[in-house]
Amino acid sequence: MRLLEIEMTNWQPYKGAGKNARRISLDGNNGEKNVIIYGQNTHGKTALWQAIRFAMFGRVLKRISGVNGKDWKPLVASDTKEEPLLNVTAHEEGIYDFGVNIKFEHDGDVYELSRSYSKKTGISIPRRDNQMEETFTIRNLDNGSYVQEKQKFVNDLLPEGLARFFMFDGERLMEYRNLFNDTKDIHLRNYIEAILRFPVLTQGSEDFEKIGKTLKGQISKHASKHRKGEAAQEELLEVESNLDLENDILKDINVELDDYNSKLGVVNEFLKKEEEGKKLLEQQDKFREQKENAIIEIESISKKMSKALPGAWRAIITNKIDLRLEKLEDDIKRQKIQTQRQGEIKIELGHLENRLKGRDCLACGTSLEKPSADEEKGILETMAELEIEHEKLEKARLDPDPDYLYKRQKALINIRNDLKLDMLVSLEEDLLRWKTRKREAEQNFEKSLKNVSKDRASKIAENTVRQRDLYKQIGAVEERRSNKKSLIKTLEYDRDRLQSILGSGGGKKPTVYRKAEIKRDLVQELKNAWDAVTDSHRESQRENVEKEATKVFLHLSNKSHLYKKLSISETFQLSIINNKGKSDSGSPGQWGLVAYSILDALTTCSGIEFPLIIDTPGRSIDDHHLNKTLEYLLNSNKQVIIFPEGSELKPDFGDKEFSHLCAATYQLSQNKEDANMTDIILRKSNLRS
Amino acid sequence: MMQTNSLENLISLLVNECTKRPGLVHISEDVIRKIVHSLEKEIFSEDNRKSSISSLEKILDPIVDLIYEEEKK
Repeated sequence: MRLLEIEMTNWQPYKGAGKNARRISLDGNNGEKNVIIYGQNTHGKTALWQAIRFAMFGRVLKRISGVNGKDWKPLVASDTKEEPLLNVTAHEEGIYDFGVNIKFEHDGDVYELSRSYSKKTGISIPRRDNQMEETFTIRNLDNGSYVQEKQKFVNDLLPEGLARFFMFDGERLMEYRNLFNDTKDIHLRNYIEAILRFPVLTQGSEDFEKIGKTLKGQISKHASKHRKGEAAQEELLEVESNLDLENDILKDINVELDDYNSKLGVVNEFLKKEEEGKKLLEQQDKFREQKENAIIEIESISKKMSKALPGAWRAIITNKIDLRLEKLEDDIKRQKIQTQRQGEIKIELGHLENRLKGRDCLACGTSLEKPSADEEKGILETMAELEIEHEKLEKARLDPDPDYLYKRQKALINIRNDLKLDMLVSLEEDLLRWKTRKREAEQNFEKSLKNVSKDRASKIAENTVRQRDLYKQIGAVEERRSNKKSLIKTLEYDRDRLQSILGSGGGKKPTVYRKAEIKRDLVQELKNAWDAVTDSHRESQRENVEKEATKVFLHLSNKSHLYKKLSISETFQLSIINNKGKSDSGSPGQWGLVAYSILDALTTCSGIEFPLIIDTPGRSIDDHHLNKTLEYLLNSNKQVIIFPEGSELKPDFGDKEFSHLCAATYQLSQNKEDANMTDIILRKSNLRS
Repeated sequence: MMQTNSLENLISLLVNECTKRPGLVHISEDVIRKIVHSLEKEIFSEDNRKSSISSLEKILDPIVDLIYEEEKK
């Protein structure tokens, strides 16, 4: 990146907007790119230096902040002591717009970056930062397009964390040297490591590890789901293998059966031709038909029975129901007898009542004599006994409630009917009957062989024996075939069940699962590669920085007869090594040069192309070494923007010595009418017209 | 050969290292550059590396797809 122009609108002491905005051009006619901007203290050098930083990152540290400061200047304030970014006079005049535009060249294109603030709608006089609104754009002036991810674009040019190595204050130069001494301050060390890209390896390794961990979790979940499928897949393979085997065996059985049937056909054909044989075959056909019918019936009945209650349960439940019903019937019978007895007692009581009162008999109508006193006493006692008995019977009759008994009886009968117990009994009887018929048919079939006359020809005998053997063999093979078919059916059922578990994937790992595994392996390998080069990169960069810094230091100090090199240890401890190979304490001036050398080496080794922007460059070194340093820097390939204070570099001397290396030199001077304002005066120009 | 530019030196080391590893045959120099640049941009990220990881995954996912397709063949 090369800066071409800086334009400030109401920026700190640089009051003015539009045509009156303050500008610094850095675009030399012959490719010159450096500028020197002279200025006394408080004349706006630092403000101009800060303008570049503000344009890039949108905030500016207060001057009192150190290298790691986090104390930012406010956007607005009515008091100059607070160091607001908006020009204080503009604020007093009711002008609240301020900002910085920079033009720069990057990768062959020219861009304009514009960052400005204005007061928010509805705010009359902004006094706090949150009353201001930012506008930030980056435009490619070659093609007119606007950059979308603006801050990312800026960070690609120069990460804010690394800005301190490119935009620094000579007054704090020693802090940069101290970066190499203060190994305890991890925060500072991080910046050195960052500019040398160590975190690309260390953080990269951590990132790969994090990705790997996340993937591990995902893979574990996939595996858990897939394990079921894998087991099913294994089982399916086994089932399919068995199925193939059993089908092959079935084929062999069918061949064997065909062979026996073929032989039987020959035997039967022979027997058909003989009268005895014909008779025998007719009988056999009849009995075989009977047997086959019996088998069909038996199978049918068995199926029906298997759908109903199994026999053992049926027997148990039937027994229980019968016992309950028996008890219920006893109770009902008892209650009936008791009811009957109650009726008899009532009749007896009525009769005795009539006797007592001398009324006619209710049963026969005869007139009853009134009893004597003794008889009356006896009748009354009898009546009392009968009434007690009636009462007892009534109690007994109602326990259990007769309605309950009848309902329960009905329910149990229904249960028995619902279980189709009667039907099952009937089926069992049928089954027995058909089994008997089958057995009879088989026996008859065997007997039929004996029905053939004794004088049958030996061939018939031979063939009938042969036929019997064949039937036996066929029966055995058919049984084997039936068993095999049954086994194959079971295997086919298993196969279908397993295939339905596996679905369309056929047991293979789902894409997302496999890809997660591939990615896990890939990031693990990347992590290993990243870890493997960490030490060698660290060492090569240490060597690089040491070599570059030594080169610059020896050039600037011009004391190669005294000093051998700058040494940077593995832990980035810095020391000056003299020609005797020992560490040298060095003068403050020498250490100032060391700081410049280190900064130059770091920025060179970083490969980041960004201007070196140095405020008060001579604050930590003497005039002689400053001049040497400036000469070195201004002659380097880097774009250099320096802001010397008057006593560090006198403008006339600076122009004489260095203006030919610059696009322009400028003088900052206090405005004669307003001490809070700074004017920018062009001194020497090699600018493009 | 050692390079002055730390980024180029780093990329060179990584390219050399990756070519030694059979598991990284699909990681070309171009991919390494992408990864390194992605990581470099995120050196100062303050989001617990979320953005960095997301960027890395975007670079790696097409390579994973490629390996998967090759495996299928």
